[in-house]
Amino acid sequence: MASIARCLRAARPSAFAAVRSSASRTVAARPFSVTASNEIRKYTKEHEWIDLAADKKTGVIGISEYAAKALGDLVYVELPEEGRSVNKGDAIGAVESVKSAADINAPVSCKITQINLVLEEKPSNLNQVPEDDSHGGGWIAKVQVDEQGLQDFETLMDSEQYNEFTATEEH
Amino acid sequence: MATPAIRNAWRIRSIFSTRHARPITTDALSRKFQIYTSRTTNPYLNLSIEHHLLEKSNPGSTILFLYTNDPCVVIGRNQNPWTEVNLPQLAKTRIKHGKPKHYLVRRRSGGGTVVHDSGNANWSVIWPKDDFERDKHARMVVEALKNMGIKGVSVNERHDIVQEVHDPEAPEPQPSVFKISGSAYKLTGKRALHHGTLLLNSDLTDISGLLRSPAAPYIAAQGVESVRSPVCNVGVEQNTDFYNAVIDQFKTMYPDGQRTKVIEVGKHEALKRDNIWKGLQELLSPKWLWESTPKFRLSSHPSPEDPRPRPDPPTDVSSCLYASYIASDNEILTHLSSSE
Repeated sequence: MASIARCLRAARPSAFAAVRSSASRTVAARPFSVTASNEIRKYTKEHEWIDLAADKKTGVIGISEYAAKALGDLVYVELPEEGRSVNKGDAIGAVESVKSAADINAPVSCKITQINLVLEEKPSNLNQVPEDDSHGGGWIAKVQVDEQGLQDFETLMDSEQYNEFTATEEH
Repeated sequence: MATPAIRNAWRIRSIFSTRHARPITTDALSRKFQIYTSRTTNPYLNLSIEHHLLEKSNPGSTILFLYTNDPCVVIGRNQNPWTEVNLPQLAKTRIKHGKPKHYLVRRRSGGGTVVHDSGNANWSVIWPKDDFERDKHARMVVEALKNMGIKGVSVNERHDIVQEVHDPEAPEPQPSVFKISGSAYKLTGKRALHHGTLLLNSDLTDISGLLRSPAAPYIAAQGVESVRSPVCNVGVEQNTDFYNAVIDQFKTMYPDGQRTKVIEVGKHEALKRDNIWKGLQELLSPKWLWESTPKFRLSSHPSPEDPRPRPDPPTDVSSCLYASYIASDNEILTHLSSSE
């Protein structure tokens, strides 16, 4: 979902600032979340995120706040197929906004164990809370991660690196 | 998947219609700038060639692809064919001179429903997603039209190309604005695709009827609903004149691609690529065309979830029939009916 933001940003110069501030807000809020306390979140260059649980066997995936802002009003989310095993980079679903069907790619090799059915009725949750992995949040799927998935995970960016990445992509 | 017999039938037929066509080679796909025109008018095949270019080209390349389709109704990836298309009318117009007149197609990009025929030219640009800009290539097409001497064309806020038409005989002096091109996007990991229609000299008589579904008042659908716009032709007789103008403008926009040769893609050559064949089979499958419709609720009477008033039932349906069901992924999830 890279720099779809570029043209929108010209029209909405404040969008980027909004992304940055709300991203840091999300980070600050995390310690208060019971389920999330031991998770590590990493990001792909294609703007997906994954929370890896402390047991390193399960995770939650979604699209980043930066991407959600860039895509504009999301009108439909095509959710992944439960039970499907996928490789890193495979298209597992798609989101539609402003006549654009944008692929959601698997951030690591994994198996889809649960999908966020709430998004079927409320695709706007993806715009409002794309990085929230609780009920009512914009997370896309829960996954099982294998050895390959763990190796893929190691290659991803942490939130600080990701913020730098999205900042430099601007220029 | 294709049986050899079906595949051979395609090949035999195509021998007679394909001359001087060139294959989409790995070498061609690796070049920085690529321009293709299609010799086939099969909408499913053209979309599959386009998808092949999107998937298999060098991720840093910029590609122009131009094609014209047989009459068809093309719905967006996340649309409901029962609410968007007048399927009974489509079925009626389907057989003409022993050939199907209008095909029904679900494309891979987003957006709404459009009607194609031989008077409509399709333009498509694929480029690196890092350089994505929504209106960049719609503006390219506008410049091409201006170079053809067509006046009053511009890109509107919905990213469509429109034409302002002054009718000196109209009772009101203000110009009317008509849509001449609809467009949609597809974004993958590294690539962006923007494709659009361009009404050159289409037969517009069927369009409005085909896009009014008698089932729409009964169905509440998730997904994407089309936005209706008045349309007109720009009045260009030859699609190839439009192709040439767009190719010239593409080269003006990308001066490094000035010397790019145009590759004409034929049906025969295209079907030799396994990836194109695979894409074609997917688009033709009921799983893609019908079953990937987003969840919807059909109910014969107003319900709390869908309180819209319903039209009077057709005369051959009992007015006592109550029916309501929700369908998703080719399954009926809940079903309620009675005819007390």
